[in-house]
Amino acid sequence: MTSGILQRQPSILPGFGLTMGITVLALSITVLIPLSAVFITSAGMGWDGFVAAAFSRRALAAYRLSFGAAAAAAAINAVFGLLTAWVLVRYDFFGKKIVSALVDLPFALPTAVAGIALTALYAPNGWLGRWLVPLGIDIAFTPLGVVVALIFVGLPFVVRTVEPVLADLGADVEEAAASLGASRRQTFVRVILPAISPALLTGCALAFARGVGEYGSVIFIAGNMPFRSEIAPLLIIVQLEQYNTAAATAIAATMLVISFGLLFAINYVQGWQRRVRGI
Amino acid sequence: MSVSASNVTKQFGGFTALNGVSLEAQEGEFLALLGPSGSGKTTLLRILAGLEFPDSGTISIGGEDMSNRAARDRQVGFVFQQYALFRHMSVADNIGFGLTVRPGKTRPARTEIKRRVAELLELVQLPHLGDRYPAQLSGGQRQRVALARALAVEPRILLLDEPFGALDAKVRKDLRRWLREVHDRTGLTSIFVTHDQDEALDLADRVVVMDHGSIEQIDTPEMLWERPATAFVCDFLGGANRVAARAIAGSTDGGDTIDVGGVRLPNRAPAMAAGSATAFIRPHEFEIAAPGSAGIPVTLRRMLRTGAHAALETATASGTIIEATIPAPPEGLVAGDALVLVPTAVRAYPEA
Repeated sequence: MTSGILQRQPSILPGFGLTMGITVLALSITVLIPLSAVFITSAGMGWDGFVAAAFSRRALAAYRLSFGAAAAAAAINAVFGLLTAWVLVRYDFFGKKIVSALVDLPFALPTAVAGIALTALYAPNGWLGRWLVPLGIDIAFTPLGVVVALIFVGLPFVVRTVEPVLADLGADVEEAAASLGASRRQTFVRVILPAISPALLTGCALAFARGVGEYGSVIFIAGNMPFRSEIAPLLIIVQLEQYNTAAATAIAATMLVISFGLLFAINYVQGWQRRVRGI
Repeated sequence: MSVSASNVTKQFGGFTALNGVSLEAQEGEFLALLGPSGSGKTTLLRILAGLEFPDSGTISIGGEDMSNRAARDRQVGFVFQQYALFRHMSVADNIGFGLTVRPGKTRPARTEIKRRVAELLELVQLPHLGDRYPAQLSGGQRQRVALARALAVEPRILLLDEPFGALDAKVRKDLRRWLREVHDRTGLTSIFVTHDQDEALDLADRVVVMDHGSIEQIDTPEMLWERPATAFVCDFLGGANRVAARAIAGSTDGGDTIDVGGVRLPNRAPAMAAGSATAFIRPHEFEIAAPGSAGIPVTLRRMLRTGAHAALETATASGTIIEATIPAPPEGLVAGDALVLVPTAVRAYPEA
C-alpha cells in the first residue's frame, strides 16, 4: 500500500517504505512479540485464574505501591527537576559542568549501586537514618524508601526534557513580562510554567514510567514486605521463583495495560495542548 | 514624557558597552539610536527600560529619577527584537497581559480589558486576529502584536529594539511608515534602535549616532547628512568615497579649505586644523573633466546607465575604487578611458 502511494506521488524524503518496514520489524522483535507472549501466557490460565492471580490482595497492594510511589516521585521530581533545569540554564557558576554530569549519573549508574547506597544512607544505622529514625521518620524498608529511590532514578528525565525548552524560551519573554508590570511570581505562573508545561509533563511521564518499572534500586531499600513495601515487579519475581509463571504473567499483563493507558492519556493531553495553541 | 540619561557607564566583564553616555529626548520626540553592532545602542535602550542597570550615571523619565527602579515599575513600553510574544497565549491575551497582571485595585474590569484590547487591535490593523496564536501569524503581524502589547499598559515612553530587524524589505518599508503614523497619533516619546541608516534618517526626529560605547553625534537627519560631526558618522551614513586630501587653514569664511588633487573647496564638516586629512565625497558630488585638469585622475572600469544618470566605477592609479554618479555622461566613454573626477563638495576630517 505504501509503495502504491510512493509511485503516485514521489516524496521529497524517499525511503519511507524501507525505513518504516525496518521500524515495524525492530519494534515487533524487541517490543511487540515479547509483550504478546505475556498476554498469551496469561490467557492460558483462564479468566478466573487470571483474576485470582492478578487481583489478589497482595497484588493490588503491590500495584498501589508501584504506581503510587512512581506518581509521588514524579511529582516531586517535577519541582526539583524544574529547579535544577532552571539553575543549569539560567545561571553560570563554577562547577556547572560537574553538576550537569551529576544529573545524568542515575542514567548511567547500575541501579543496584544506587539501591545499596541509598540503603546504607537511610538504614537506622546509616549516615542519615541515624538522625531521622529517632525523629520517627523511617525511610529504609518503608514505602517512603521506595519513593526516595524512584526520585533518584527519575530526576534526569525531568531535567533533560525541560532543559532545552527552558533554554529555548529565552530571557526576553521574561523581560517582556517584567516590562509589562508582572511580578516574578506572575511571570513564573503565567508565562514560564505554561510555556514549559508540555516538556515538564513529558519529563514527568518518563520519570513515572521509569519509576513503575524500576526494580534494582528499589528492592534494597524497600524491605519488600508483602502488603506494605513490596513493589509489583518484585512480586512478579517472587511468583517466578515459585515457578508460578502464569500468575507472574497475569500481574505483568495488568501492569502493562495500566502503564499503557496512563502513557496514552498523557500523550493525549499533550496533543490537546498543542492543538489548542496552534503550534 | 521627556527621557534623559546622564553619564551612563556600563561594563560587561572587561568590555565597555557604554562609556559616559548622556542624551535627552523631549516630550513626544521620536529618537533613533544608530550604530554598528557592539556600539552600545541596545545596551543603552535596555538601561532606559530597566532591563539592565548602569554601573554609574542616572536615568530619569519625566524628570523623575529612575536609576534604581525595576523594569516593572518604570511604565516603559518595550518592543523586543524577536517580539518575545507569549506563545501559549492568544493574540488578545498577549495584548491584555499587562492589564491583567496589575494589582487588584488598579486592574481594569474584564469587559474594560476586552474593550481596550479590541481598540488596540484596531490601532495595529489586526482587528480579526484576536483569537489566533503567535505561531499562526506572519513576522509583520507579530511585530504589530508586540507593539499593541507594549501600548496596552499606557506606557510613559516607548522603546523599540531593532523593530524591523527580522522583517523582509517590503514589509519593513510599510511598517516603517505605519510606525511613524502610530507615533504621531499617540504622541508618545519613542526611542528605537537600528543599524540601518536609511531607517534612522527616514523615521526619526533626531538621530543619535553611537560607536564603541560613545555618542558621536546627536542631530536631525538633515544636519546629520549635511554636516556629519566625525569621520565615523560620515562613513557610517554610507556611500561616500574616501580620498586623501589636505586642509589649508585661514580661509575667508572662518572655516577651512580642503585641497583635493588641486581642487580647493570649503570644508562642509566641522573646521579642522591645517594638515593632511581624509576627505569624504559622495558619488553625486563629482563632475568629470578631461585628463590633465585639476582633480583626481582615474581610469573608468565600468559604467552603468540608470535612466538619466550614469554610475561610474573608477579606480585611481593606486587601485582605490571611487564611485561617481553623474548626469549625462559624454558620448563615447568606454571602460579603460582615463578621466579626472572633480569634486564639487567635500567633508574632511583629520587623518585618523
